[in-house]
Amino acid sequence: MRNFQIIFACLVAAGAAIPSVPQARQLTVTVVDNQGRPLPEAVVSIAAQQSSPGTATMDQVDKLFVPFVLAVNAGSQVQFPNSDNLRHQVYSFSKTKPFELPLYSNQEAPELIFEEPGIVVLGCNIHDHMRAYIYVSPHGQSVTTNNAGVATLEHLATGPVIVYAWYPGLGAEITAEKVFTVDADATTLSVALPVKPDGQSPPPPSSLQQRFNRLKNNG
Amino acid sequence: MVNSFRSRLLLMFASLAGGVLLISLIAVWLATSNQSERTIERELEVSERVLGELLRARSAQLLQAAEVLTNDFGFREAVASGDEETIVSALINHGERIGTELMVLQSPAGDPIAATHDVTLLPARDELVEMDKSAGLVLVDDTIYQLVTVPVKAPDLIAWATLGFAVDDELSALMQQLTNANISFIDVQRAEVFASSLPVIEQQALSALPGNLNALKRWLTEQEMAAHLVSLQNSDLAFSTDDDLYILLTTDRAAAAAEFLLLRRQYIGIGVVTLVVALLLAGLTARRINQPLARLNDAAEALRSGDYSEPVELNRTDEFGQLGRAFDSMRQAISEREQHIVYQVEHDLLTGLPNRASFQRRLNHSLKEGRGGVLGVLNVIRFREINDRLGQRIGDQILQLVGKRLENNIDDAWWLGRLAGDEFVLLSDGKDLQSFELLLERLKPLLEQRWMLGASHYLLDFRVGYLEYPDHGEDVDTLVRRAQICSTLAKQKKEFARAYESGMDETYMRRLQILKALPEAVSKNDLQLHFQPKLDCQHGTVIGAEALVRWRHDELGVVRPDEFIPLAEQTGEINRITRWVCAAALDQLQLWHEQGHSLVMAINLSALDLQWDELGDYLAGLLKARGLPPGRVTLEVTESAVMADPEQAIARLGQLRAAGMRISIDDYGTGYSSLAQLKRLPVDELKLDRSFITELSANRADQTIVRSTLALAHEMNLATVAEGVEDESAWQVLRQLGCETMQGFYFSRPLAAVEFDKWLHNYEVPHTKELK
Repeated sequence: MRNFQIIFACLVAAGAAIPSVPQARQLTVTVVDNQGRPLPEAVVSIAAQQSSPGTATMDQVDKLFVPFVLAVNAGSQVQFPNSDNLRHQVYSFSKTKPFELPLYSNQEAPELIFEEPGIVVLGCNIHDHMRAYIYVSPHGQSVTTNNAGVATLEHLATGPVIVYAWYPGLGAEITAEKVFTVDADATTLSVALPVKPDGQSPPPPSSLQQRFNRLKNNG
Repeated sequence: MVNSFRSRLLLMFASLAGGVLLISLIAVWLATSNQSERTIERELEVSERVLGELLRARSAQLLQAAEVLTNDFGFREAVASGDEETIVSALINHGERIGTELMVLQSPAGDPIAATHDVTLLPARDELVEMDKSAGLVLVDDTIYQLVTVPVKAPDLIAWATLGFAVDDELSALMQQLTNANISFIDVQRAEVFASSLPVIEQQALSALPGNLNALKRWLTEQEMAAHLVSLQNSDLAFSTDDDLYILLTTDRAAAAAEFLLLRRQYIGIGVVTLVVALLLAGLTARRINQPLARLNDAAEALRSGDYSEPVELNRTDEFGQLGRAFDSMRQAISEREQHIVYQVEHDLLTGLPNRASFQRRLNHSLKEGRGGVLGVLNVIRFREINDRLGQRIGDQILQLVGKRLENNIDDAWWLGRLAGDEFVLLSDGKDLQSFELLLERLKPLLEQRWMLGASHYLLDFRVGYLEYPDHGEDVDTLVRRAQICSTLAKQKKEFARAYESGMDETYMRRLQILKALPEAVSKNDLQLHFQPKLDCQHGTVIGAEALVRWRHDELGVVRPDEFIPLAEQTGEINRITRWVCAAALDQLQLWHEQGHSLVMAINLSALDLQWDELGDYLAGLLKARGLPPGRVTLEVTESAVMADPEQAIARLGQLRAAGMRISIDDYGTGYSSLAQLKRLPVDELKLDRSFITELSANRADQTIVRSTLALAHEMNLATVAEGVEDESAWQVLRQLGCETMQGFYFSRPLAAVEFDKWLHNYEVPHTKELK
């Protein structure tokens, strides 16, 4: 995929002069994939006043990260609880935040603070199929689409607004985003991303797994 | 079948080519069979080695992978965690990474930490560790695994990880691709196939075998498979603790032998082609040899049947060509010789004219074709004399001249040949007598010209007899004979040419028969004397008889004297006849005298008798022997006989007369005797020819002649006899004219002796007016 990062610098100065309306402005963004189907867990962002850092959770359930994509503001604290009855060893080699959480059980819930905006790719050292993304927003307000591919952006500034859309695999760089401009009075935006729906695919039940289980059950 | 050269050559070629091919085919067959076996064996050995190497390489590879796995920090960490779920999870995760299907984690003490399979089914750990040196194959739960066992160190040994990789059909198929032999992992005793590259059907068949080695071997033989069965117990290939585990390497004999089969097929193909080509070549060669042979054979057959016309041309430069040329020159030589012989057979070598044989063929052909024409026979008269006088050489030359002159003066319509000696023949179909006569008219003056021979010249006489065919004869012999008769008659009649008339031949034939019978006439006693009474003309008394010879032949009937006497004269037979006649006549005369009849016997002599010197003596002897007076015998000689040689006749007759016998001139008046000659003749009597007497009474001229003749005879003191007195009037005239003696039918025809005696006994002198 080519780099689709297109930046529009055509902000209209005249628009900024229009007196602001105290009414809160919302933008509902609907994201579809390259097949035109609703795309969940896509990140849509707008530039906004830096809101306060929050807390978020990246859980591990049935040897899968939950959620697959987690959008946080820079400086947010993320908890990594373990809901499985076995141990995980979570790591990331992303420049934004390289880290390793040594093997830990569900008794522990390590926490990490993600200062830098960027994309953090998560993996588990002993479960190769486990993968997740933490979107540390560089924009101000970032939300992920729900299962219907819909996300709502709040408190939009008056006038035309630039909307950024991200999804794993959108470009050569993991940080590659799509940029859209919405008119001042627009409240909805439909975004089509040239991607296929991504996610963690748990391996098919392996013969080894079955053998272990069988032997264990027999034993 | 093998009688012909061609067949034999074909058979020889076929046998040679076929034999060589068969022997070499057998050699190739044996060589390829052995070679095929050896090749299969070698390939299997190679396959076995390759398989061993593959298994070892796989072990090494698996070992490496296992070590990479166990060296993974996360894995070690998971193992070190001691949490079973985590360990199992890690084992699964990492096991999946390298596709292992058996994982067993044991504590250094040997206690199982986590396992996919029952540890008790595996060999002891020490053995497992030992297996890493070669490819360790272990049967677990009916699956063969290639096992590698590696330590898990953190950094001290915390566990042993045993990883197993299934040896399955897929691997077998891969091995098969690399080793080029089908690989089967089997348990011979249990007849179980754990993994195999063989097709499913064959795997099932293999599984269905009774569990022993012999059954397996039999099955392999049935399946046309070459095999190596390697026990894993003591093999370089792999290490196994299972006693009954075997690796079976099989290769399809047919597939392995396919090349050799192809080679054989090619060789057989080449053999068949060679054989066919050899046969074709043999056929061609045989044809090339046979053709000229057949050609020569045909030519020889043609020669045998007398056909020399077809030249023998083989148009070849080889030995057959030479043979053909030799054959052709032989053909030409034979042809020339035959032509020469035919020429000689058909031609008269002296004159070069066609000979008798070709004349006969020619005429026969014309007759058979129903063609008519004219045939003439030309003789050179007295040619024998020429030969005798001048020699045969001159005679031959003359004949050549005659032939040449004839040949040069007849046109092509006439066919000229030489029959024999002086006899030439002229023949032409479609011509008639007139045209032949025209030809003769033209030829006659030419033949009368002189015949020049060197400085000499000769004149020749020719006689021709000719006739028409088929009117005058239907076969060659008859025609020639009749023409010859004509020629002979022409000669007798002193004519140049004479045409055939019907009857000529019959007369001639009778003459010939007479001539033939004459010599026996005397000896077979066929001759008989008849006697015609002679009477005194004045008184009518019987005074004697004329002995007339009669000849009765069995086939010819009665032969008249005028028929056979001239012929007897010609042949000289007359002498015997004369002697017999004389003897018989005198015997009869003697008898009459003894009976008291004092008669005179008249005996006829021929001209030839007069030339017989002993005639007088002979007659005198006969008379003396019978005691008869010579005066009682009258010898009658015809006037013409006397005239033939008057001098001798006069002398001979003089002798006879001197001996006392009477001489009478017979048939007087018909010859040409002059009175001067008559005057000199020693005769006693003139016998007037019957031609003057038979009509004497009516014919004045005859009377005049008879009167004057009688007068002349009387003047010359000659007695007179008249013959042919047939009526009384003639007698009366004769009596009046003064004739002394007479004879004729009026008194009696000639009678046999017995009848004569009866007649004489009954005779009475007629009473005539004058006598009275």
